[in-house]
Amino acid sequence: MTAKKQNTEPSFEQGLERLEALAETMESGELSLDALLTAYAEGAALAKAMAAKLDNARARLNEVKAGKDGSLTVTPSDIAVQGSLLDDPDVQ
Amino acid sequence: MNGRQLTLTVGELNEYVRRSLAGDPMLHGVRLKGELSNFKRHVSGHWYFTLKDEQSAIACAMFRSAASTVRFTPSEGGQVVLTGSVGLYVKTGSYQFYAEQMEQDGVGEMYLRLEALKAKLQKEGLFDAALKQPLPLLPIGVGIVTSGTGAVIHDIARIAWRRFAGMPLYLYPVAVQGEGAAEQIAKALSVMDRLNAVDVIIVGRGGGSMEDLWAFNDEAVARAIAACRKPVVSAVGHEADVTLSDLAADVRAATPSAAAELAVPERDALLAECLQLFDRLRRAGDAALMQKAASVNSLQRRLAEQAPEKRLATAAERAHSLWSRIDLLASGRLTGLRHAVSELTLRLNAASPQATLGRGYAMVTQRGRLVPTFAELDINAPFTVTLRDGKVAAQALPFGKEETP
Repeated sequence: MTAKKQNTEPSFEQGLERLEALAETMESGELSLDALLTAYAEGAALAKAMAAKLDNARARLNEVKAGKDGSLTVTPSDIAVQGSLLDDPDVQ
Repeated sequence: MNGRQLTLTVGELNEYVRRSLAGDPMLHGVRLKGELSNFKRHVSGHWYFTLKDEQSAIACAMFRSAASTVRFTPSEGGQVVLTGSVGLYVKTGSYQFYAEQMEQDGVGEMYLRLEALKAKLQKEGLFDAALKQPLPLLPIGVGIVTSGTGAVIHDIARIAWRRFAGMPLYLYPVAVQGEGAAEQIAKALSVMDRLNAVDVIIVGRGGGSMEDLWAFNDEAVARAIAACRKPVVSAVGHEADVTLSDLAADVRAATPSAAAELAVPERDALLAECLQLFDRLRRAGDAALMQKAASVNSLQRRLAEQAPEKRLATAAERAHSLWSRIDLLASGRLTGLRHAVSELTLRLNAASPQATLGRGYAMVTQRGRLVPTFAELDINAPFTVTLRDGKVAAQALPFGKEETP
């Protein structure tokens, strides 16, 4: 399942590389109008998706436990992180 | 015999015995092993304790200057080897051992076993550089295998969220020392490796004595780290000694805080890089569009020079439709993005209209609408020309349209 997910969703590194490649082809000035607009649209959508990835502000500290049968449970942790009130999105 | 009988004071006797003991070379530089009991730390910094074995016991003192050189924290029941001398405490007439050094018994053996294990794992290729994986630039979540109590988890979370507010963290709490710690750590690692929400793992603990860190020299832990398909950062807070965990991990950090810095990127830096690339893309697009527009204009002009009015109208229509497509595609698709990153764009303020105006361009508006083309301009009505530092109302001169070169 993990592998599948990783295959369909490019990593942030790959996103940056793709953006750079798009910018380079567009800068070459050799694209047709259609190709130019397609490249532009792809770049814009990609940049938007990447910016969204950086706004993952609802996350917090979770605790993982493994059952005897190998099942995994993830629950919010009771640990209140010291000195991080300003950084903790749930407190803002 | 009787005539020689002397009467001594207690002090004289004690002093005599003290000197005898002090003068006996056999009683200096003695290495003495046994179990610590009745351990007391005096406020003066001196240590007082009893060293015992099955049969007997001896009172011991270790003065502050000597005690401060001991590299571990002695505890009740600990097996130690002392080096020191035997002396008499004149005040009570009790003899005791004055310890100058204290080592953990069996440490030498422990290190020998560690070296042998290290060599074995090395030979197996567990530490090979080829196995080291790079850390993801932007993790989807960070798995943390450490104690659920103590400062380490707080340090990691604080640093992680300072760099990237809201980075999802997943803690698997384990014992990091003592009985069963190694098994717990090894199991937690394999669990984290299966957790889809995590793509980088930090394993570690805060500083401690070599004995405290011993779980991180455990074969099962080293193997569990090497077996992880996800990159692992080891953070065993001990600078002097490299543990097997450090060698098996993909990246070694000196402390848990340093591990958090390695595993979690700075959000603002990534954002800036992303926006910078997007800005470059936009500039490239703008430049290319302008070039296309120039060719359309030149085509228009060539047609106008030679063609009857009808063909001119067709060309104008074609030019206009091309312009509309450019506008529609560019602005339509951009609006969505601009909305999403408007706050960020503001921050960078890179290619705002204001900046464009600053480069010497002017913006023409009429009845509150932007007029990008001549065709959209009502030549008989007043319009507004916006420059970088102000606006001016304008009216077209009567000689009408002049072609752009």
